[in-house]
Amino acid sequence: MRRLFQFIYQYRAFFIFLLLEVISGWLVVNHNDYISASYFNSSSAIAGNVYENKQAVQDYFQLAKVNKNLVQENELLRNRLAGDSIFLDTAEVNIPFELSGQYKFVTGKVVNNSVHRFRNYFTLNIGSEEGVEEGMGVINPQGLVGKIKSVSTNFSTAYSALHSSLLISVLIDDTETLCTAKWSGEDPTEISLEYVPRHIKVQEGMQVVSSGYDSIFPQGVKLGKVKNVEIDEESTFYDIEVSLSADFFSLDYVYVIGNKLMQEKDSLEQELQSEYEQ
Amino acid sequence: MNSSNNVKQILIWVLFVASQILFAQNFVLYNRAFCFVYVGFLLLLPLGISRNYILLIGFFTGFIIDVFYNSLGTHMAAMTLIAFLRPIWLNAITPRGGYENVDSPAIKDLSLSWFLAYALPLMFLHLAVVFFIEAGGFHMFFYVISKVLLSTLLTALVLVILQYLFYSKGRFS
Repeated sequence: MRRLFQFIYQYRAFFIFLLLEVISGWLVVNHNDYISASYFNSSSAIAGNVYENKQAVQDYFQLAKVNKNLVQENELLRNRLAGDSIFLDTAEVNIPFELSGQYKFVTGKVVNNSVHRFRNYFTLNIGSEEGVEEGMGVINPQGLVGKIKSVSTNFSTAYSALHSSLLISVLIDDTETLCTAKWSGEDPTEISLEYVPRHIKVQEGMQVVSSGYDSIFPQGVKLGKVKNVEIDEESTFYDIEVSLSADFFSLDYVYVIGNKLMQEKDSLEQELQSEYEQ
Repeated sequence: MNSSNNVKQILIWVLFVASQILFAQNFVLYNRAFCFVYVGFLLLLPLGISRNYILLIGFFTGFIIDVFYNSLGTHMAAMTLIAFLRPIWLNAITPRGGYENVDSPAIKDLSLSWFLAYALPLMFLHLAVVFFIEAGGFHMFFYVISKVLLSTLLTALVLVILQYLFYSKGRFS
């Protein structure tokens, strides 16, 4: 026994090294779990405050651009308002998701953002105090941006759509094809579509929007336009590249979407599922 | 190690970590070359510190960086690895005169070419661990390796410039 302790003491640097590596390895594996509440990320109070102050300095250099985006969004909303109010044929008009009351929107500001890693995240300056919860969707005026990962009182961290293990349920608008969008990890302006079967006629320029099936995003939030379509002789699915409509290099103000009916929908679907399993 | 030296090292640590989080994080060239300047703190630590302390310092530094990068575990693993390899590598490439009169493995005490021979392999390993964990495997091998190589070069360049600016003889010592 004494010799064992002697042995460990002699090579203690190596054993400390081993211990620390095991701890970090365990954290890597554990942290990559899809939803894991964790205090040790940028939504923690300290990191959030550092990023908020940093953004406060950077804001002065972005004012012109932020203003331009807001004016553009105002114009869009005004046009929509003007167009809708002239005549309302309830058979034809799709009620825009913002007006249907099922979804509530919270405005937040991005205080930290990354686009160049394989797993990109951004930090928002709103948290549970403003009603943000884990798993909510994040959009900006241009389109879909991400999904909330973890929340503290005043800050929240979100998966960017540029996260190589975030899957987004989307539709190709013209053909109503349900498929999955996933970032390949290379170009921050593009995202790939998976599981589009070969009998669908996909063309460049088609709109890709969120499907609404995952009850995170309302149906019809823009993701982007089909940019490149390819298919091999033997494969069942297309290789499709979509150019993202949101500009991830300059995220500023975003909306966090809460779905009031999410629980109802989930419990209904779960009921059905458990019935099948019996 | 006296206490004024400790205070100085803690200040340098804060400077390195703060500059990584506030500036270097956004410094990316061509979507490939990243700047991980905080590694320099571990590389430039004085020689007299025991191996166990270096391991713990590396582990803790990696942890702080991970909190800000939302990548818990990644930088910790990489920093612990090079903290473990640093003394071994220092032994392996002992300069001709040994380490007498050498305070820390920096350019001011040794030469530029020696520093590059010392720092480049360690930085390469560190960045390889970081990027391969981040990519979640070897399926994008050549893309990741190109990232690692370019980032190593950029980080080394920044570190050399920093040393000529701040670690020159006469200052701090």
